[in-house]
Amino acid sequence: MTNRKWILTGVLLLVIIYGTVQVISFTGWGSSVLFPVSKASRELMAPLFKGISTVVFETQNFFGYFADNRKLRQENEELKQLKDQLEGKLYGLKEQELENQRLHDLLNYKEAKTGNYNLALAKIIGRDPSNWYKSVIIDQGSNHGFRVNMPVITHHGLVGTIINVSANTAEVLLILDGEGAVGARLFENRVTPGVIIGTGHSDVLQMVHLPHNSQIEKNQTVVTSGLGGLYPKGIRIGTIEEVRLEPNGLTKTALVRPFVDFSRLEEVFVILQVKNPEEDQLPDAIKPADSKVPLALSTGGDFR
Amino acid sequence: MNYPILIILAFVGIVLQSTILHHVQVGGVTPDLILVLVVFHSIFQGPKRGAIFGFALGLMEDIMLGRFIGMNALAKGMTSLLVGGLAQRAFRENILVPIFTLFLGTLFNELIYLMLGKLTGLNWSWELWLWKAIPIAIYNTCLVPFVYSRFYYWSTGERENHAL
Repeated sequence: MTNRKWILTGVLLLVIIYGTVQVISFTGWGSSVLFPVSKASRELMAPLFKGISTVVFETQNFFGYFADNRKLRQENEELKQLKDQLEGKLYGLKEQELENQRLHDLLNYKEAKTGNYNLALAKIIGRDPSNWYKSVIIDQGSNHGFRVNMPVITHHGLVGTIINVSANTAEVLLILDGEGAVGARLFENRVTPGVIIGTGHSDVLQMVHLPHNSQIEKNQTVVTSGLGGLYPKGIRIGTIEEVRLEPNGLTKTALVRPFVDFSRLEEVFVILQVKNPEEDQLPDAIKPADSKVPLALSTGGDFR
Repeated sequence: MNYPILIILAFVGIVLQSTILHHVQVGGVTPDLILVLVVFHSIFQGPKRGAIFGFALGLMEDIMLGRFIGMNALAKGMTSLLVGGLAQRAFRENILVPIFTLFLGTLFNELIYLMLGKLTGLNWSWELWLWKAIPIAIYNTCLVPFVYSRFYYWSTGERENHAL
């Protein structure tokens, strides 16, 4: 190739490059109108593009159905497993939350009663398997200073008393049991003594031996009287639900709804030492435990 | 070389790139079938014919695209010129020749494209070139084993049972 040809080729290339760059600039984003040739080619190609796209779309849909079905089954299986795991976790968290709340309440109670009692926390690890006794087993015993006849309470109220101990366990007779009589009185009317006994067959208590002329009304609070020496006085027990006059006409009997929900009992305090019995302190406003057993049915008596 | 068939192949390539190939994107890019065709053509036809053919196919692509007409033409034309020049003295039967030239050609093509874009005021960065050019170059190169031998036998007129 001669020099002249090289020069001509170079000039031609430069002209082509320059011209093309000009066309690029002219047909860039700023230009909203298509070149006629572009417009024509696009119109010409449109049906072809549309046809191919439709075929591709339908093919994808057809095969996608099987792929999606398998994918969905797999996803469903994975989600089920995840759901089970999360439910397990949620259950665990709820358990922890409830335990935390209980322990928080118990701690508050323990701190509030520091001046009154020396308390030890124990966990309930078992319940009496028979239908005849209302008792529970706690996880601490004589090694922890527990002795027979020590009162057992929660922040809600009186639970019962220890009836036997081993080195690391103790059995607590609940006040629900017919054998667990508790000397009691009305908080609002301190001169009304009575005895709380369990009905033995439901989660309600009876307050017996009330004088016929005693001023006893529904919703009054029952606390321990301290008589008998087993329980310190002033520990709350429950509220009066119903009152009836005994057939002999000399005494009244009242049904008492306990503050403690015995069906949900998990932790309790054992009173190791009474420093200063509670006096005239109205228990914190805690609702009595709900019971689904109707009161009249639970005793079979005629209350009014 | 049968140019009407090459034009039809290019046309099919553009149609495929506009429709089906978007469904087989890898790394956010599709292979540039026109560039593959242009590079292979240049390997066999040399820089001069290669450049003209590359420019023509690029222009066809630009016209169908309808904007920045000339960008693909110039980029593919210049790429064909480079690739044709490089492959002129190479042993075309060696599979490494199309692999190397196509990889390098793709990087060069995208570089020219980027520079033309910047020249016309588009806000493209060098980083974008890395993210686009390298995946396209890899994707294009992956097609070599499936396409090159057929192209070789078709363009040289030899029988396909001769191993490369």
